Amino acid sequence: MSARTPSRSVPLGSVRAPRGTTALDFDPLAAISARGFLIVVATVCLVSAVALTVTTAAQTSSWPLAIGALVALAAGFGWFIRSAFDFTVGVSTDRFATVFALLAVATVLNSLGSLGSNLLVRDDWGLLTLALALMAAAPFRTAAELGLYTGISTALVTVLSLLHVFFSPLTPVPIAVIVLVAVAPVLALGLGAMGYARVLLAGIYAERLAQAEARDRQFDAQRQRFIDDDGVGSIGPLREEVVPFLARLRMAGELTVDDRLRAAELTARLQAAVDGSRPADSLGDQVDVFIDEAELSLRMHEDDRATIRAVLRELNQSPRRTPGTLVLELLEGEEDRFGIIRCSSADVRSLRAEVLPFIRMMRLMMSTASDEVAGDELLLHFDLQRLAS
Amino acid sequence: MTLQIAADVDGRSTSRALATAGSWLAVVFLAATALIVTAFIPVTGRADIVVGIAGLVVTGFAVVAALRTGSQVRAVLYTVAAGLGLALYAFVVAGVSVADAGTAAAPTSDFVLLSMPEFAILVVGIAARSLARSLVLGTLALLVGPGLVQLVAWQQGMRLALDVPVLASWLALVLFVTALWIGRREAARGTAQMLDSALAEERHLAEARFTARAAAWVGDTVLTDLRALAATPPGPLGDRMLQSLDRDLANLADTSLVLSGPEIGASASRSLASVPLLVSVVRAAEQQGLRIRVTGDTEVINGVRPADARNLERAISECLENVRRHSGQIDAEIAVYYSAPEVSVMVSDAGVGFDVDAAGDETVGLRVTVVDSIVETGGSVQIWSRPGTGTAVFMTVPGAPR
Repeated sequence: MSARTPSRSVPLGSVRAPRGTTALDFDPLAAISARGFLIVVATVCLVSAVALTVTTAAQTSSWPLAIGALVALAAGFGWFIRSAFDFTVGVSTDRFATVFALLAVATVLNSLGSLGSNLLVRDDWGLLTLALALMAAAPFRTAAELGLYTGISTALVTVLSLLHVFFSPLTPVPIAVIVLVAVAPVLALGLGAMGYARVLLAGIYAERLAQAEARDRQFDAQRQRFIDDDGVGSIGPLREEVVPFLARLRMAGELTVDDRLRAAELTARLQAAVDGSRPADSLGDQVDVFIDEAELSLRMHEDDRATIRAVLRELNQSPRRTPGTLVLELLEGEEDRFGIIRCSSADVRSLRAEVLPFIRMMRLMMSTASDEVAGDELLLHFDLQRLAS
Repeated sequence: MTLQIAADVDGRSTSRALATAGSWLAVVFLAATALIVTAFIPVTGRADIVVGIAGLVVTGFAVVAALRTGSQVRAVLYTVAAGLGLALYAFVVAGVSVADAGTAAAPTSDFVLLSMPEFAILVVGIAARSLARSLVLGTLALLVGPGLVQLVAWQQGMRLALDVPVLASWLALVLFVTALWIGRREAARGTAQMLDSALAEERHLAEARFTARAAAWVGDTVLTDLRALAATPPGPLGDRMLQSLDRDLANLADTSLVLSGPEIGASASRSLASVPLLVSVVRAAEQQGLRIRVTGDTEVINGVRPADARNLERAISECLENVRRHSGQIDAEIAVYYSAPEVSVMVSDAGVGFDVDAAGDETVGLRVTVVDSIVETGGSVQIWSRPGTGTAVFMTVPGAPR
C-alpha cells in the first residue's frame, strides 16, 4: 500500500464512529491545523471585539461591563488555546464547557454594556465571537456537544436581542426580524460546525477502516512473499543439505554410521542458524550510531517505534544534517527508561525549524518528548513509557 | 495506518467537511433572509419579491454546488450563477425599498437584507483542494456577490455605503482558510511520513514474526528429528521415524503450511479497527505479551455512552492485567454480547483460577477497579472462578447498538 494513496474501499455512508469520539481522537496530527485555525479565530475575535467596542463607543452605556466583556473574551480564548496546546488533556468536554461559559459571559456583558443605547444588535461582537468559537471548536468536540452549545447560544442571543428591543429606543423594525438577524450568525456557524465535526469524523473513521483492510492485504502479501522467497528453507543448511539428506534416508529406510555423524553435524549447524535467525532491529538502519545496551528497542510500543522512525527519516533526509552525526540512544535508568536522538548541523536552528512538525508529532504521540539546541547539536529527548515486559 | 491513527492525507475528508459546514452556513443566512423578505410581501403589497426569493434559491443551490464540485471550472461557473441569483434578489429588494420609502429615506446599500445573503456566497471557496483555488474562488465570490449587489443597488437608486461587515468577513475567511491550509500542509507532511514509517514498522514486525515462526518450526521438527537420527543406532529406521521424515519433507516442499495457523496471523487488535475501545485495550495487553481472542458482536460497544465506555475500558484492562499477572496463561478471550438494553463483555482465561470467596489482596484490583468502574455506569459484574478452572469476569453496562 502506498502511504499517499490510502484505500477507499469503505464507503462513507456505511460507517458510524463510536459515540463520544472526535476526528482528533483518530487523527491527532490534525491538531496541528486545528490549533493554527483556533489562533486565527481567537485573534480575529479579539481584534473585532476591541475594534467594535471603540467604533461603537457612543452606544456603550456601562464601561465597566464593556471592559469586563473584553476580559472574559480574552480569558475564554486564552483557556481555549491553552487547552488545545495541552498535549495530555486537550480540549476536553469539561474544558470546552468552561471556555463556552466564559464566552457566554462575555456576550452577556457586551450586550448589557450597551443596554438602552444600542442602535443595532448586529454590531454586538458577542454574538459573532460566540458563533466563531463554535466553528473553532469543530475539530475538538463532538457534533452532539456542538449542537447543544448551538442551541444554548441561540437561546442566549434570542433573550439578549429581546432585551435590547424592550430597553432601546422605539424602532419600526419588527421584533422577529431583529431576533432573526441576531440569531442567524450563531445558527449558521453552529450548524456549520456540527456538520463539519460529523462529516470529518465519518471520513476519518472510514479512512481508519480502509487502512485496516490495507494492512491486512499488506500482511497477506508479505506472508506470500516470505513463502515464495523460501524464507523457511533459507535457514542455514536446511534447503541445500538437510533436505537432500532426509530425502535420501527416507528412500533408503536405513541409517548408517556415517549418516549418524552427518545428522549430528547438520544438527549443530542448523541449531546455530536457528539461534542466529533473529532479525536485526530496523530502527538501527535509520541512524549512524545506535546505542541500545538494554535492548529496549524491540520491546518498545509499535506506535512509539513508528514515531521515532518518522523523526529519524526526516532528520536523515535533511541536507542541513552533518553527515555521520545522527545518533539514537535508548537508555535504562534505575526507575525510568528514555531515549535521546542527537543530530549535529552547521545551522542547527534551521534544522530544528525544518523538523519542527515532527517534534510536535513526537509530543503528540509521546507526551514527554522535548527538544533542545546545545551548541551545534539538536537533542530530542523522550521517555519510554510503553514497554513490553 | 499501523497505529491507531487514521489520517486524512489527501485532504478529501477535510474538504468534504468544509463543504458541509459552508453549505449549512449559506443555507441558514439565505433562509433567514428569505423569511424576512417574505414577511414584507403583505406589508408592501409587492408580489415581485417572490422573484427575489427565487434569486436566493438559485444562489443557495449554486453555492452548495460550488462547494461540492471537485472541478475548479465548474466551481467558478456555479459561483457566477450564485452571484447572478443574488443580483436578481438585490435588484428586486433594492427596487422595493427605494419605491416604498423614497430615494432619500431608503436604506443604504449595506442594509441588513442585502448584506446577510452576501455572507452566504463568500464561503464558496473554503472547500477547494488548494489554497490558491480557495482564494481565487473567495475573491471571485466577493466580486460577483457583494460587488454586483452594490452595483445593482446603486442602479436602483440606493445610496452607496461600504459594507464593512461583509468586507471584514471576507478578510476573516481569507485568514481562516490560509491558517487552515498552512496547518494542513504541515500536518500532511508529518502524516505522510508517519504512514510510511508505520508501514515500515508493520513490515518489520511481520518479518520478525515469520522468521520466528520458521525458526520455531525448524526447532520443533527438523532439528528434533536430526537429533533423534544422531542418537539412533545404525540399521533400518522405525515407522515413527519414517513418518516424521515424511512430515518434514512435505512441509519443506510447501512451506505455506508452516506459516499458517492462528499464532502467525495478525494480532487481534488489527481486526478491531472499527472498535477503538477494544483496540486500545487489546493492543496494550498484546504489548504485554498476552494473546487475545475477541469474539461476538464487538461493534455494539460503539453504542455505549462515552463516560460508560471509559469505565468499561478501565475494567477490561484490569481483567486482562489480572490474566497476565495471576492466571499463569498468556491466552485470554474477550466475548461481547448484546441483549437489549445492555451490552455485556466477558473476559475469560483457562488459568489457575482462584477461590472467589477466599480471595486475598491479589484480587483487590479485580474487585475494586472492575466492580467500581462497572457499577458506576449502572451495570453489574459477576466473577466466576475456582482453583484450577480458570476465571471469567462477566460485565454488563447500559448501551444500545447504533
